[in-house]
Amino acid sequence: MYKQNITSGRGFRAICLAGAMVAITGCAGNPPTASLATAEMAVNRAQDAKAAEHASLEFHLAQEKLARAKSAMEEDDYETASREAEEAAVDARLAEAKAASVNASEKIREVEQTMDTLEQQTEQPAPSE
Amino acid sequence: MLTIPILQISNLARRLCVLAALTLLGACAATPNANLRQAQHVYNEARMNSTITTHAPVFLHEAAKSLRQAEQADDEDDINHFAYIAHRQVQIAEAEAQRKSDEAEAERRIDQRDRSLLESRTREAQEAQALAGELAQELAQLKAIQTERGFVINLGDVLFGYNRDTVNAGGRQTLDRLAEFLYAHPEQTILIEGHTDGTGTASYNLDLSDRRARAVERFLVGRGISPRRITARGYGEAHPVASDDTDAGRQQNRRVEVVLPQTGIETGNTGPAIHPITR
Repeated sequence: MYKQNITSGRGFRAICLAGAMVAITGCAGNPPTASLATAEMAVNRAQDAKAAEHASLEFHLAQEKLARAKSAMEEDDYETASREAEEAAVDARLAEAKAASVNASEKIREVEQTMDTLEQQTEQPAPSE
Repeated sequence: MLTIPILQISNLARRLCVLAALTLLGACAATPNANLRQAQHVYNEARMNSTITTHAPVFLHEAAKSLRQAEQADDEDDINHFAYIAHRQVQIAEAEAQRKSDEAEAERRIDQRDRSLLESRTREAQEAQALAGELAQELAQLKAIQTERGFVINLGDVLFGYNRDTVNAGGRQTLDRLAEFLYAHPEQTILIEGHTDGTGTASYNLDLSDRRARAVERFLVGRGISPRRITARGYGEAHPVASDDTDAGRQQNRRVEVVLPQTGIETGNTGPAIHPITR
């Protein structure tokens, strides 16, 4: 019982400390380099998926937010940088997903077109005189 | 000794908890964040959509986590931020689900297309085979022999009395069958070639073979076959198939051959191989 009390006391203090650390680092601590890298990668992937063409708004938003995250980073405003980077990443992923979705529906249309051509060919009787 | 500060701490913690709960409640009740509500709304709708739950469950799960972060945040900026992320993740889930179901649909249609393509090719092949079989049977009935010039039907000399150029009763049967064949295959052209044995002068035989060939042509034209499909010509004694020294040989040499230059059934080729000679 005695021992337990001590450990629970220590545990509580540790939790407090960890919470404080999280609060500090979350707000103004380390620069969010990982988030920024993630966002940058997501924007590049979206670009490769031709998102600029098929999901122009989302792609544009992602680019804008990534730029804002970078400049916030330069001004040591890590909180803004982190938020902008995270949002840029989801914008870019949405742009990529939308572009891929457009590709898939285009594929359906292509198949449909070749089917129509085939049907026309088979319906036509063999040329004879 | 030690229990007192712990009690104090836990008391403080309890008080803090109550306070926090009150603030949270207060925050929720006082300022219902529009972005958060919007995100919750789209998330709940997506959860009811079986296409999304089957095709993009991971994105939906991510959205749920962000939504929880938004719900637990007490700073307005944080709420907006996580609500935005959650909303986007739901949209990503939607787009992913759409893509996957479209891809599955495209796959299904490609399968369907390939199957029907295979079916129609098989059917065409079967039809062609049936047609070829029919043709072979017809040609066999006409006793046609395949040569490098095409199918050749030897009508022999049963058509004619000696030295004559009219078609006899026995020959008519064969020619009626040939006429039927030509009806059935309107693209088929024919060459009628007359031959004689070596008895008599060459010029007489040439003329006789020509008359015999033309007698066959006349017969077919009389059965309704267009003369444009027929080329008739005599070759005299120039192309014997047997020796003229015996009766049997001479009989073999007196003959009319019908050549089917191409059985253009499969190819649908309509042009005659040789232009008809003007008569």
